[in-house]
Amino acid sequence: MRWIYVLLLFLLLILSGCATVKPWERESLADPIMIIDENPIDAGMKEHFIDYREGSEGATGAQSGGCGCG
Amino acid sequence: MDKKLALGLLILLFLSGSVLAQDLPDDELQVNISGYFDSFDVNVMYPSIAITRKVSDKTSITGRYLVDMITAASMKTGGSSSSGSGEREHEDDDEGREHDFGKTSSATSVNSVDAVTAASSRGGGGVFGGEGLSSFDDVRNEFNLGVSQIVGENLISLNGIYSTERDYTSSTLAGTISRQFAMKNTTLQLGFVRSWDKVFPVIKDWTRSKDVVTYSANFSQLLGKSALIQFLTSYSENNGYLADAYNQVSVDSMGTMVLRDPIHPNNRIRKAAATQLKFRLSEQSSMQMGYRYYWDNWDVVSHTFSMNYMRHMSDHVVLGLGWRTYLQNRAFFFKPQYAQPEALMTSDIKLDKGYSNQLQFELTLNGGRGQDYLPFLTSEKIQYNISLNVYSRHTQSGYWYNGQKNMIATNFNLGIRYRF
Repeated sequence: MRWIYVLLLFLLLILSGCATVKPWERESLADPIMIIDENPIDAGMKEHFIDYREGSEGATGAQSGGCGCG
Repeated sequence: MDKKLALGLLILLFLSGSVLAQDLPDDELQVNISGYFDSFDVNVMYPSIAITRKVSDKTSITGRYLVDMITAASMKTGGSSSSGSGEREHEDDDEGREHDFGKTSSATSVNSVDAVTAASSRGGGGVFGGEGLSSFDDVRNEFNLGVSQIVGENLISLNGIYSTERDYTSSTLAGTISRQFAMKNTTLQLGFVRSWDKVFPVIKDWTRSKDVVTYSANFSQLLGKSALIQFLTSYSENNGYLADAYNQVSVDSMGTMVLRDPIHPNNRIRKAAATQLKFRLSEQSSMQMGYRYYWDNWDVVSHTFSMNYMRHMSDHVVLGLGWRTYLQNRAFFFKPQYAQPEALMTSDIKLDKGYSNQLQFELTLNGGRGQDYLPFLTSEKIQYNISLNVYSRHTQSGYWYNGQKNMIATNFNLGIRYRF
């Protein structure tokens, strides 16, 4: 896990230092087509079925409950 | 060392200066009717209803109910094997003791089990006991209650999930803390999920536990006025009974292939790291590209590539087209057949080498002015979602139950979101 924290620390320092987008410049980013997983409930349900079909899971941002089908 | 680094990161994050408060989720009611159908004759309908409501300026609560209603042709035949790999003679439990399979055959005919989904037939009574759901072979109920709270400059969310079905229960507690800083250009979210599962297969007389702890860290950064990037990581530790009790393994016993229970390690450490880049292609369209790398201590390594194109077709209609490709290698103890009993054995197709592809189609209809010709779309508060996914999977070995290496599945969703 150590490398994850190092990576996050690095990204935090590097990327946050170059923030340039002001709140009034975010009209384009507020468009629904620019939002990642705009509907988290729907994303979670889709991920649930894929988790059962494949041997991998995680790092998707989606969340769902456990079940006996997996 | 890990704890010191994590602590340093947290201190840096929560003592940092230019932070702004975050928003609570919107008040909304969401109703979805979804379905799943595949070439292994598995059909699942799973309606759900979710409501999110602010109860104060700083607090929002969410409730969700979902029900999986499963039918499978193999259940209706008692879940009998058609692999031709041999007659069931014995089975072992996890401690390696052999049982006469004949003892369970009568139970199997009553409480039949689908080998493909691992769903167990409800028999005559079922969860609801009435005739309304009698055409379904298994039913899973999932309840979710969550609260989101703004605490200082942080948004904290806690969710409790309880899932119950005939032979499985799962209780999950999930929490996230997220914070925006650098004038809301950067967001860091730390997550924690703890699950306590119980498995009690209808063809067994035991109950086993499975415990899962997952930590996640997600980092989002605006890259400009029309692009953003996200990094996601997760670390999950699974302990307890990790096999699927309804899967079977073919083992050579004195020249005859017999079916035995799988034996999995009782610990699995799963790690994943992913990135997603979203950028605007034009005023009307955007593209999302993603990659995930996954690895675990069962030697499963996978790569997932995804692309998603979204376009405004009009002021009220958004079209989404997606593609996902997945490549996976084999777990170190997976074999299609075993020449002799081994300490670890599995023929679970999820642990075989293979690949999958998925095509995604999404249509979103937003209500509002200009939609007067469609009475159900006149309100700006309403949104309709339609999605269809076509999924294909190929594995190097045939599935133990039906011998098939290829599976095709379709998954649809019809949803309504009402913001109030």
